[in-house]
Amino acid sequence: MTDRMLSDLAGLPPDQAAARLLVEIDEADPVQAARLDAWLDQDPAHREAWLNAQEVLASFDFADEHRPLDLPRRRAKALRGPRSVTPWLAAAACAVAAVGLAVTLAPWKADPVTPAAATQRIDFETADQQRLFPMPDGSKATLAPGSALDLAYTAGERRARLVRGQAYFDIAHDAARPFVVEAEGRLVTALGTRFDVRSDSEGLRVTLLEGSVRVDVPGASPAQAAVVLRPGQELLVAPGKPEVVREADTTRSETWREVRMVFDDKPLSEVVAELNRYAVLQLVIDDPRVAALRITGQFRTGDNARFARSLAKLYPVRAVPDGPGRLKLVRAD
Amino acid sequence: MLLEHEQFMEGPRDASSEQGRRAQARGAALAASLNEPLAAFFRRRLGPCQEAEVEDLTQEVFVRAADQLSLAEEEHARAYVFRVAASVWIDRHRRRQARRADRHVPFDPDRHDGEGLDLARQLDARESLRIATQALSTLPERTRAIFILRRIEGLAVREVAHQLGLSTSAVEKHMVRALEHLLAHTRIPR
Repeated sequence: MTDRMLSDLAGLPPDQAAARLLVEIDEADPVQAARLDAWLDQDPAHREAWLNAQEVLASFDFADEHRPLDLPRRRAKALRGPRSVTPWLAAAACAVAAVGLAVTLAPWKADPVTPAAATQRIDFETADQQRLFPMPDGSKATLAPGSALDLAYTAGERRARLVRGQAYFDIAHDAARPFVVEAEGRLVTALGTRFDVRSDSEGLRVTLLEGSVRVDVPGASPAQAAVVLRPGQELLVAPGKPEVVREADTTRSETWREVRMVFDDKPLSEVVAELNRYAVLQLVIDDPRVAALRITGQFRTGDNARFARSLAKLYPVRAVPDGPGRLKLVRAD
Repeated sequence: MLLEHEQFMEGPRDASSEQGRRAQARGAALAASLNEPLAAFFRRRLGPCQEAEVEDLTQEVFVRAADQLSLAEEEHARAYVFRVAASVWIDRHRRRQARRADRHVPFDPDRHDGEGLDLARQLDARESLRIATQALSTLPERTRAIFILRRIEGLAVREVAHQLGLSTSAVEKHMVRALEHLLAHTRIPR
């Protein structure tokens, strides 16, 4: 918000000025907040327009109960732009810190509480190949073959429901909007952390590697309290048995999701593009000679810093920091 | 609520270490510096002469944000506190609407004098939502979708930009256009 913009407002009708201010002003910034107050104090009509705009926006708090909005909302969620097939670099740049989270789930059981779930749209789905999906907040989900994942993001929460199969999540940290995984009728809430959730015929296992997670049973009696795990602990829930919290073998949950990729005489640009899909740390190349280097080998995905180190040992390249979350590969000479 | 606020003023319970003491001091200093900006945030929405409620809402923000206030990064904590303020404001609005729906308060021309007031505030929120939804339907699809994703689905500007392959400034322009359109179509012409 600049002085130029404020003077632009002077010529605008109060409603239009209020619309701009509501969208563009960041009230957490004292300078911008002061300018907003100056505008509000300028004319009673300004304050009136501002309060009215607040009311109009607030009426959408009841959107969930307003059926005529259902269709436009579905269409909005499905709408994609021409350039939105590969815009995920932008999202990666926003991922300040990433945490890992893995979920395995037996086929989703019919949920009697929400019959609508049966006809619900699936956001991400895989057939016979595993695939990585960038999510709108900069997080990434890798789905195993035959998996389906449903997202429900709101202002206060990022919710993912594994409909079937297995998924590994690389989560962009957002303290104000927890990431919640729905599995086996339980809600696993990541409080800025790394953890592993697995569900099969033997039951549910939640292993905490770092930070803190809370496991809730929705609709449970007050007596059935939520379980909060400490790092290195795991929660076991088996049918017909009491819940157990015990010390975990954390290496087990760290190793299962390791993925390797094999390249046979491929240009480095192609290898990097592929590896970048799996990691929050991005590798970039702008030297065509570096991009053209031919690569053969097997590499671990999800650890681009390690890949860059290995590469530097074998080829005349080195990695230099290139802004937050980016490493640039340049010629070593 | 006052007690909880005092507990927050004492900072994190682990204040025995040097680090804990520093975090505690940082949290208290940040809270003090945010008190007036937060009050202003609510005053802007409540209008003048609502100081008691301004104070209550501000307290509620501090209670809800207590665990985040000693975060190392002040910028982050500040942004977080304002996001909490926005959700406190939304919750207050919901509570009020729920109460209003319970009582079935009829439109009262004496209390809601027509002068300077508009349709949105005279009618029940659901009625105003009905009108706003109609106005939304006459927007171009992309602008409508952007408004819905941002305001109803709660996506951040950059998340909307990401989904639609647009720049964040383009998303903001669509938001301004949508809001202008809604304001123009939900008002009683004067």
